[in-house]
Amino acid sequence: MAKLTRRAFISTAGAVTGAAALSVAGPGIAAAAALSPAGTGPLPDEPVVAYVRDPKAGALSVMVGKREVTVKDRALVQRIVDAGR
Amino acid sequence: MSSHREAPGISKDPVADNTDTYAFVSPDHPDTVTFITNYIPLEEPAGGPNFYEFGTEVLYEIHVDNDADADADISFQFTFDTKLRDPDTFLYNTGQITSLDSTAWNRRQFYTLAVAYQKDSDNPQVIASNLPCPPCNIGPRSTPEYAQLARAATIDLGSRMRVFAGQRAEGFYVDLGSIFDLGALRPFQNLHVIPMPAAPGVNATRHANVHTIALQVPIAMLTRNQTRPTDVNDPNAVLGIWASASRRRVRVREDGAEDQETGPWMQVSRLGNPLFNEVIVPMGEKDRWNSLPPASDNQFVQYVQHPELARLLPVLYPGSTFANLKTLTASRADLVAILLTGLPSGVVSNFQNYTGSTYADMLRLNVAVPPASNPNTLGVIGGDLAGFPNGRRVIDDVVTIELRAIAGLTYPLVDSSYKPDAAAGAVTDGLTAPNSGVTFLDHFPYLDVPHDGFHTPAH
Repeated sequence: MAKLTRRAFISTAGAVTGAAALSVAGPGIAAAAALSPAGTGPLPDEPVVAYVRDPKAGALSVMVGKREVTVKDRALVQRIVDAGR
Repeated sequence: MSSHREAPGISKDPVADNTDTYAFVSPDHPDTVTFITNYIPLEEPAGGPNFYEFGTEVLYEIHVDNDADADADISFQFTFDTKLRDPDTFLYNTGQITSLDSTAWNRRQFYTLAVAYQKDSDNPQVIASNLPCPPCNIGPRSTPEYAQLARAATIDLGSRMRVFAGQRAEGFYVDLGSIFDLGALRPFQNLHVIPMPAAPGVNATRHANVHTIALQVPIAMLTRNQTRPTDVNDPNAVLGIWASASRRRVRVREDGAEDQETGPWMQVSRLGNPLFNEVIVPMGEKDRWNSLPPASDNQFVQYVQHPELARLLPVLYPGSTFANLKTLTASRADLVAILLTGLPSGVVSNFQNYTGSTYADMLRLNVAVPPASNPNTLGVIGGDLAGFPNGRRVIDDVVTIELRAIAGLTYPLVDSSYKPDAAAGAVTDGLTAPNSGVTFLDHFPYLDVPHDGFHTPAH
């Protein structure tokens, strides 16, 4: 697989936000709920960053504008990790 | 220094590095409070062609706690934009800058001022936007009438509020070169463990500039009951004040384009009392302290109760100089009161700035104390209740005040049996407002016109 560039990381993260079926932990529940149903929400005009602080925990932070949502999804984290290999 | 480059992390991010914060009842408008908070330490006036400016991806804030819980009830927020007239020149200015809209000024900054109230902190209200900053003071050819030019950037916001954001002369005077050379104080260095002949202090910041945010607000817009208190014992009279800088959680460097910043604001710098993070908090905790709100400062109270500097002074100045301080091993309740809770009634006659038992590093300003007609730069320990640690004025000699307090001068406030060393009442870095070479204005924004790059440090 090609090396993931910074720009590709952002676009990958953006796709993640729109497409994944999410279980949400932490303070971002309301924000994440607005993204359902999966795959049908409008895509934002601004960059979206997904940050996997601890892959083994299966959680990632999704940052859109000034919001941060913590998402718990082991399968999604695994796909992101695989994409970076 | 007060808080210039005081922590490893923020020392690498100067535009977000909060260097000094002041809060005082305005001497020329005593129905108002003036807040001043400075960023970008040790600006070299000739530092072009990319002269100093505020960060455009930084949230600058001045916080006010008016109900004694160490949480911000009012936060004034400042965000900046940069506008470039001509990207095809390397120059900051292509001719004389004679006005804030001069076409010869290539790189200008504008800002938005908003206010967020605790009850609705996610929805700050914009007070004014597109407010102009003055240019940096370059020299007599580029900025020939600088004082007038900068005066135009003092904006009257109505309701007796005014604001200024831009370059100013550094007002914090300190003998850095000596203090950071193993705690030497030139007037007393003959007594130092590595002695040298006593000498006058040298103001290391004499020719430095900073970037200043100054805001003047009516007292009645700040107090919890929206009045202007006149009784110093009125609990509504005490405001807790600190400033901060925050950056977005994520920054992504783009290939050939502007970096992307996203995510929530994360605090990277804060400042209430001068020298708190600099001198009290140990190196391994400084970055974390910068990221936390004042209400979290109970984690750091042990460093106030047993300050490292108090242990060092008797070592650096051996013999009888600090003999009594050497034996003072009790918890320093005096310093805790001065820095973390405020002084309750009855400790200093006709004064209190107590904000309850929550330990929090904030300036505490009792707005019922009127401005002094003849200010003493030693503030409360000099008998002037309008000065530090009752808020902080630009003239206050906070280095000497805190040195003396840490040396034991204020411990009798909590233990009348303790006799401070004679040195505790005399110790100083040898600088005062008059002899430091620093000048101030008697009106807003109180810090003087910045040094220009042509003459500084040439003369």
